[in-house]
Amino acid sequence: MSQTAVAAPSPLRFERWAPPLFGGLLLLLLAGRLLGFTDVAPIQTFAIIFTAIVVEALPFVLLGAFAAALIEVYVSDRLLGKITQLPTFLQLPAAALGGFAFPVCECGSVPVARRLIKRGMHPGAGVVFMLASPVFNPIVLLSTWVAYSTRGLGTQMVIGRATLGLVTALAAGWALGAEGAQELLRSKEEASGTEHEQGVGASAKRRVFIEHLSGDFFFMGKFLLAGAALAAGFQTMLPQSLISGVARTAVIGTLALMTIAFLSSLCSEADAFVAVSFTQFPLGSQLAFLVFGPVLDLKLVFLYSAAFRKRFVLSLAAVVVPTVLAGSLVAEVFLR
Amino acid sequence: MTLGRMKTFVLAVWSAFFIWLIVTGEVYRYIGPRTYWVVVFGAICLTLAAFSYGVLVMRSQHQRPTVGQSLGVSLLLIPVLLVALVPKPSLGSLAASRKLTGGATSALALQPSQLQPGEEVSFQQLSYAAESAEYASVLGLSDGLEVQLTGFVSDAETAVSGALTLTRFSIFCCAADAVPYSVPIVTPNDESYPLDTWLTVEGTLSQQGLRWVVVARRIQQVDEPENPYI
Repeated sequence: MSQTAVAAPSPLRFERWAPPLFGGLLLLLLAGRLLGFTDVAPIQTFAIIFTAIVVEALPFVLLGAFAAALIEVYVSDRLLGKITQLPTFLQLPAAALGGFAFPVCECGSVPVARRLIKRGMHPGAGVVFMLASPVFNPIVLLSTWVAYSTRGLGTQMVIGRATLGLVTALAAGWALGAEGAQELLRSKEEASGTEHEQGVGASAKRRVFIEHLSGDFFFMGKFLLAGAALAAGFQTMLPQSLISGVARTAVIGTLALMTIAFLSSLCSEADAFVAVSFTQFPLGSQLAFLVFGPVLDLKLVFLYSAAFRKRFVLSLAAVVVPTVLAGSLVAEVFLR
Repeated sequence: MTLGRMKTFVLAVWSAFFIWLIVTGEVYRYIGPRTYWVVVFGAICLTLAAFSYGVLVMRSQHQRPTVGQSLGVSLLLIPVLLVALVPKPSLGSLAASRKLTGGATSALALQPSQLQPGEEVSFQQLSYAAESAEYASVLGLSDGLEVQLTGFVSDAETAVSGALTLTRFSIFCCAADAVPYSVPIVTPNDESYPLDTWLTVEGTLSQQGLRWVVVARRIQQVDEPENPYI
């Protein structure tokens, strides 16, 4: 088997700024530990939130890398060809329903979507799958029901979350899918260094599969760390009351909760239990928190940067923010 | 060291870290009981990944890593190093002041059941009761009810002047989604304690306005519980 591993710079230039930054921080911590400074509250708070996010998300990154490697190595071109020959208007909703059958949170769906698009799936359908799976999956919907059933709103919030999540994913897929895969995905030269030629024998396939799995895992893992560090930093430094203080009207309240969702980077399987505690906000705003966080948060910005071109996040935000805002305002009427 | 061996080493360290979290019980410092399975799942998958990749590396040609590749792979060890450098971190008064307090008006929609004999009233129940007289009534709260609470001292606002605030976090999936619940405590002789001191407070309930206050009879400084969350 021949390998064509590509060592290339990442768009955020991790190899340049991350090692000195993280290395410097670790040296500071080591000095702090020796001098007893690590007991101070900001370091304790940062350490526990950062580690918690990484520990919770890493198995899903591995699961996503596993699924992506399976698609790359074991799903035949013929099968994928059948799917990709479907008309676009069928591919998009089919991809959204695919999210229901792939119950992982957002960290796992990014490498899978990237791999599906690379294998020829319509880019819009790949984006729909990626955005729908963390919202429109049974575990997330069940946790939403459990969290809100204490307020007698379980069914309404599940229907609202599934509907608005689906609409948001379809809108983003439709808008961003107009671009071709080449324009949407990071180019091969920028990518993870895990591009390999396919082997033909079972042994060669196993080898390529493990190479793909580890390549995607290590590549996405770096971006996860950066996102988790930023999210933990914001949770440590920024009082949420600063944002929630303006939360009396539906529009401002919704934007405030979307900001908190973005900064907090919660797992979609957990966020309903947090959303239900935001009782000073209208229900529509809480719904916006539940739909917006799983499709766009700090940790995801970094993960998206690993798979897509730089402007992807801005384009995604341009579609998702108004869709979720408008959808939550409409939902508020039904949820009252 | 080859790139493959470096990756195997990092995967093995993560696998060992997950197993260590489970064996020592430290997992509950970071992850809630509902998502404990994620750590078990992660430990199994990471172990399998480390083993599979190690076998693959032994059978394949050796590739010398560039400095950038070495550093990129090593970055993934940072959380493990952080845990080694900051052992047993905890969410305290700073985190409580940064997060929105739980409770509030959701109590209006809750359906509490009356406290059973011997059942201790919880931080959440007292927070909800402060927002709804109906909730407090169904729960069976009354002046003079005996309570015992263990939490840490925080400076969260409780709208009861002169009272000390005792707080405890509730977590659902992980420490990132922790929600603080606070209860005002009136201490004997206006005793005060430093922030983040863990206390077990025994006393009786007293209603002041809507708020339920614990009038402490006995306060004991205690170590942080093994599971600091509720």
